[in-house]
Amino acid sequence: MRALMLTWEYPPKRLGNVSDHVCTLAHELVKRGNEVEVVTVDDWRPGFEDVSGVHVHKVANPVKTHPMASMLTSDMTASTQIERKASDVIYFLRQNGKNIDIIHTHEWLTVPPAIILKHAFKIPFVLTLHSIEGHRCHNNFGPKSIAIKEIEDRGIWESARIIANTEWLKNEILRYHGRGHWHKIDVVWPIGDGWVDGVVSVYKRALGKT
Amino acid sequence: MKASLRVVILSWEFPPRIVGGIAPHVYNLSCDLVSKGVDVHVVTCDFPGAEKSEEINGVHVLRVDSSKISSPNFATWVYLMNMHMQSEAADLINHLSGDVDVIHAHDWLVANAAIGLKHIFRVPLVATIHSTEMGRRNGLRTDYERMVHQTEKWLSHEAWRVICCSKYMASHVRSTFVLPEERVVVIPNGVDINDFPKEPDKTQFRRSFASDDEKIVLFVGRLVYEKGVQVLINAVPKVLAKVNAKFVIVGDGYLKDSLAGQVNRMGLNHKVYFTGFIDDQTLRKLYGCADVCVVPSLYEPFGITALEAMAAKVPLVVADSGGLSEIVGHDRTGVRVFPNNADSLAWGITRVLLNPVYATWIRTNAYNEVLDKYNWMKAGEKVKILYQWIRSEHQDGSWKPIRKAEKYVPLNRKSNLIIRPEVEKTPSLMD
Repeated sequence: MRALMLTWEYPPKRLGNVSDHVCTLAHELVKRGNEVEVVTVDDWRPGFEDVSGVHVHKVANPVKTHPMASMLTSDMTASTQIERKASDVIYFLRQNGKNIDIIHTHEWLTVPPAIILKHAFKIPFVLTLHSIEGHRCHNNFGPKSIAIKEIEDRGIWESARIIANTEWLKNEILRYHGRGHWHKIDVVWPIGDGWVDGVVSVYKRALGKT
Repeated sequence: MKASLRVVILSWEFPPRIVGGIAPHVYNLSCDLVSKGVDVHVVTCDFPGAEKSEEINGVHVLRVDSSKISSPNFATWVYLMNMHMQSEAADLINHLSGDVDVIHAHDWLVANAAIGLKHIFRVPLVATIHSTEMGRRNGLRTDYERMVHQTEKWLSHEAWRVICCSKYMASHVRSTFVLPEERVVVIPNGVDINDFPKEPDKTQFRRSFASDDEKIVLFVGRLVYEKGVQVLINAVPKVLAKVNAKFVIVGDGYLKDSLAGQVNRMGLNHKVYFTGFIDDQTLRKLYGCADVCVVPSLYEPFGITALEAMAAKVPLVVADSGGLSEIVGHDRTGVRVFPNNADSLAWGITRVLLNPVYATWIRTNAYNEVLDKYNWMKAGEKVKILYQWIRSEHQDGSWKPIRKAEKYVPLNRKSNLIIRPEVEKTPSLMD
């Protein structure tokens, strides 16, 4: 299995827990004989590194200045750069006779590039939701929150499978984004021995292999 | 290799959706490219009542649902719209089996989508920079303006070639975005003479704008700071002291209320007429009625209204700024006055209105110049040549899409050298 992991944070950049989550997952996947290419945004350390088998590609946001609290615009410009790096990785692998099997994206921030890569390269993507905008904004839906919620919604529609960390989060996703998605969501606890095997089985399900 | 060129044009406006000058530009350009045998696909934003996908004069138009995701402000709307535009354009390019020679982006509003598509499909990108944020705002003050500026810079650096519409604009773009000279190409806009009525109806239609003893002074443009309408209004009393005239101001913009207030304070309500936005048909008839057309812009990358006036055989008074200085020759095809100077502008207007022989001289010269230099046939030809040039450069290079995984062949420097064709040695000065 060869996975392309998209994330908005990756160690040493740590703003939330997604960073360590993705790092651990990538290393565990590699230990079990998979190949992982991570594409992430890091304005201070752009470049490539190979950390014990995990290929990490870091890109810098090309548009540095954004209006105050405009997470959305900075995310969209960074997304384009992620797409650029991801397609370079895909072309490089193709040159070497390899293919990316699945794209794995974490949180809404990397949903836009995942959608576009899916449409362009016809590679399905798996979306892990660690939390949802409905909770983060405490139900105070302003225009910004609505936009984020709608990006999440679009990610849920376009993804092949969705990973929720707990049964509770799965129910909350269904509550906010519609019961119709129940068959797409898998619950994988991000701890313990079953974690990585669970993720791999979700990949296989997304590819229709089980 | 297929013979014909195929281009995907991205633009945030395309008729019937018209916001500014990009829509007519893209429309005329794409129609002309089609007539020259180029396969043109335009991806643009939706408009109420317009088809999602249709063919206009041979141009394939795809309209993207631009407000699928609600957004808090204009900038966010632009970037979210780009996301949809990009995914739909990706489907389109896949439908054409990736067989696209050039992606052509118009202004920063489609920068994100265009740059993403460029790298995903590895197709060369051409960008037309119609104007810059630095010029529109006369400097950068807020973070919003810096963001737009950086996006424009990013687009111009990603582009294989940048098209500018005048030499002034080319030097401005090169210095603000720090581009090498060979990356910027100057292709002047054009205007279609057949759009303008040959013999305008000067009586009935004219009376809805001015009485018969009044001369019509026409301004066409967005009512924004850089277009200099405030200068024109300051010049009104100075003109009226010598000639009886009516000032017809066509267009809309954020300065409309303050300009109306300025006219009111000066007691000129009966002499200045704000028409608001009017459609192309009426505007062309109005050009035919005008006695003089004024373009008092403080910043003007090109000045398509000047060309329109020239094509409609209306004498022209322009501020000596930006692209206008290149289009209009003083005392030859128009009158050039000092920018942001009401006295000078009033002098120019009265010079034309009081001297009909002079007016005929400059407008005839101007019309001939349009026939000669500024028509879409010429502009389309230049753009097509640019596309062909870029396609051949792309084919010679190594940056190409790989359709499917190839059998792995380790790169061998030695064999690589043997395969490479013999390059003819160019004679150097030392021989």
